[in-house]
Amino acid sequence: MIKELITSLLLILVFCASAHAKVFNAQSTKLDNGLEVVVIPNHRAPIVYHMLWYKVGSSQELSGESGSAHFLEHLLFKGTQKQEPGEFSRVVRRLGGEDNAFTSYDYTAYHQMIAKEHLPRMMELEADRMRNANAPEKEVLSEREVVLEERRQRTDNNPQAKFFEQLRSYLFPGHPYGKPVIGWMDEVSGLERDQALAFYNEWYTPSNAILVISGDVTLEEILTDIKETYGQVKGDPAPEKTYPVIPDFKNDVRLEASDPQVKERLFAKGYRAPVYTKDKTASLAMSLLDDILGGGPSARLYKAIVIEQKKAVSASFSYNADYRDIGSAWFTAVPTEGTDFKELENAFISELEKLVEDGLNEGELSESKTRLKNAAIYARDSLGGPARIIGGSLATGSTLDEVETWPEQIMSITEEDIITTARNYLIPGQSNTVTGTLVPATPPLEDAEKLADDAGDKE
Amino acid sequence: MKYLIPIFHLFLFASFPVAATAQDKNTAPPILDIQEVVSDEGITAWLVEDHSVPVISMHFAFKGAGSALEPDEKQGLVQLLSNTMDEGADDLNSQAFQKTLADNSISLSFSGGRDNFGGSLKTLTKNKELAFDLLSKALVKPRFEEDPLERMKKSNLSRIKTSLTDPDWIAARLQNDLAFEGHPYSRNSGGTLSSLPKITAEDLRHFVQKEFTKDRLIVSIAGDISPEQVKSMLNKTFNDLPKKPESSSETKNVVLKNGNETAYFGLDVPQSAVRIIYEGIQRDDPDYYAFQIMNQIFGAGGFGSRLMEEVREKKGLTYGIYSSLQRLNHAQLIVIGASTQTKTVGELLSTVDQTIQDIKKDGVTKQELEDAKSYILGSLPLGLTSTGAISATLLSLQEENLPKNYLDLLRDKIKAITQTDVAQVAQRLLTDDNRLVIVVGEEKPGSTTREITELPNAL
Repeated sequence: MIKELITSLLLILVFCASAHAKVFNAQSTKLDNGLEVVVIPNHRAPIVYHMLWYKVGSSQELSGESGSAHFLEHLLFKGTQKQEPGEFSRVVRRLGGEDNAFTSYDYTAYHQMIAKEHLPRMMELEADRMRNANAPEKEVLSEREVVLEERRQRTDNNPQAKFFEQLRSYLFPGHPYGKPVIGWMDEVSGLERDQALAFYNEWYTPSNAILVISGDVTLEEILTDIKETYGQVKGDPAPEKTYPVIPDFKNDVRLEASDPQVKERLFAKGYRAPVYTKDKTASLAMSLLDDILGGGPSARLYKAIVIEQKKAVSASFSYNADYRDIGSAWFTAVPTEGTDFKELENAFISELEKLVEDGLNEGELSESKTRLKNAAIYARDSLGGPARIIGGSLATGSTLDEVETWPEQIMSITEEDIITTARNYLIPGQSNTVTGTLVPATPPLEDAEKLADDAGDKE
Repeated sequence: MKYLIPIFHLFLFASFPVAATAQDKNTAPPILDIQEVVSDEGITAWLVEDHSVPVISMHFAFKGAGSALEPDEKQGLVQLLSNTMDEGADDLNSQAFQKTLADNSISLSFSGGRDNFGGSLKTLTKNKELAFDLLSKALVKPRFEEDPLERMKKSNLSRIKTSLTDPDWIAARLQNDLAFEGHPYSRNSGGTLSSLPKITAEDLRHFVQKEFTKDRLIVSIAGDISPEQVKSMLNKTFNDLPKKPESSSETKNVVLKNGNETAYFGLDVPQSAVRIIYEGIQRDDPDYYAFQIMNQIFGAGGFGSRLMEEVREKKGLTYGIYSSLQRLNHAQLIVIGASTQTKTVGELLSTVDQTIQDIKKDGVTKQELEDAKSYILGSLPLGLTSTGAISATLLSLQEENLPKNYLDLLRDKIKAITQTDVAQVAQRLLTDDNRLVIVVGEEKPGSTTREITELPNAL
């Protein structure tokens, strides 16, 4: 009994203390060559997650070279002046680690998860890869085939992925966010080694990168190793990132897509949305709107459209903020049989109008804030999560302090901020939006027998 | 991304702790300190205490209560059960139940496997009483009301319709149908377009009452909770379950069927899905650990594995190729999977075949053997970085009736494997005269022995 009581008192103290505490308690510094360093101590297991982020992705590709940032990412596994093709990955494997990399619009990251005693070796190899990449021509050609297979697997084999790829090109016309990160098939097929390496030489430089290490270490422990490896890398500053000015259309842009590979209809509406670095209040308000409208089965949209009105089988709304220039938000839904797209769209729009006109319900805002604050606690319950959150935020222009105090900032958002943001970004006539419908190329098949015939007809 | 392949962990569960430099297993402290907690009523749980983050994760399962028990005409019953158990229980209807979960940031989910029915719960420490109470209600007094049941049926039907043109999904469907012909495992555990509508609330209720019994229950917990608290939680949460099933049906063992066939299903997509399937091996087989090392070298290891080297790195034929052991309680398969554009299916098949013949004829090198061992042992702790992953690992151990000190046994077993063991197990299992090949795509391979025009157990 007494023991229980002490535990709960301690808990109260912990919670009071953490109300204004930082989310991740990360440590940071900057090297003389401009490399930003972030360490997130986590002593649960003797493991480290080592990530090197470059603050550049497909948005800075030259015209006609879509996919070159991602292609380059593949080529960085093909050796340097010191490393054989594939050697880095083989070393990681031999030491019991995992490695991979990913490319987005505004960042590219390389990462390994490995026992902490091998961290210096990872830093040595990754630092070497910052400036000395040297993929042999033969490897480049076969890797281009691999990337084409990756594109077929992710996109060309998947009618929904093709649909969203085209919708993005409508939402961001003439802007690099309208191109797929993996690139257009025809452009990827023609990418050359020199194009990828030109991108590399221009952008992969210490002052355009962030080292993020999460795990069983502290900054003090590893700073010497960091300086001896990454600290030795030289490089000119990267150019300023530029984005084309995108026209403000505010028209009702529509895509009616049909595909013989589709058996189930799909509705989607995309919006250009704020980014944190340009409009903090609007971005934080959008994060709350993401939760209030689309945060699962008890959120507004699913409840109204799927549960109550039965106009959709599924409905989701999500705000995507991981960009430097413009964000996006997407509503997607599969209509129920007998519901046409117009009915579904009207149901969605009337929910938005209800929100803007009637405001939030009693308690709705504070409940949502609590959920987001709790999500920040859960984020600490892993090694990779904090590193990815911090890396992605810093790479798109936020500061570490902004990431650490995110829950407090969420608490400061008012109902009025939310209504204003919804009105500015989500209401027709105000917003830059695209609406798409995807249907089977032939009339929808109604029963199993017809589906069976269809499968049998393919010769 | 550099690659995207399914990660099939070597030993089925997420991974294992090991002191990376432990010399003497008797003195080295275990990194994962597993406690066995038994409640007053005799309910047992495995616990790893970790108070670094105020989060608790729990996993549980009812062994032997999986979809293999479903009646043929009600395929998908267990899947539907997993979708509806959190849709209202006791005094809470579907919306009230979901809202309570959301407002308190509690994640509760259920999952139906072929052998076991499982679930997981994650909560902040401060909400643990409520979280366990909701789980108890869901297990003991689920409501299965008409409205959520219909909604979940529609959602599953929609999922199936969307999958009907996914070549990987079709290949997996054909694999189960052909490899397990005539056995309950051959059915579609996700349900079919015609079976799902036939399932009633009464069917679900009956299954829960009959199969979810205390003698089948296994529980694991990780995170911010003490053994005393676990004890009282176990009683409160699980004690109202029935003790033993009235009667239980026995699932028979099955070995690979149709091992002489090359099956083809026509689908109009640019990239074909390919699977090559052999009879597998169980953990109690003396060759099991030799197989795991062979498979790590051959195709389970991602980059650096022979399949990835030959098929992707040298020839650029695919984005990812893997070889995995798929074990169920009553069956075991080795599955090689990849996808490639239509015109290179033949080349991919012959390259894989050559790689198989090489490992059977020449075995593996000393270096390959050492690398595989050091990867397997070194990578064990990588998955132990979140409470959810630790708890899932504990459950996997219990699902397989493994001892808490399994790790020590594992280290010794892995270390003892020789090049000869590996060569022999390759010859034993990668049999030329008993393997099933499946191709889904635009063009029928010349080697086809059976063309399938109607997808079994989907419509």
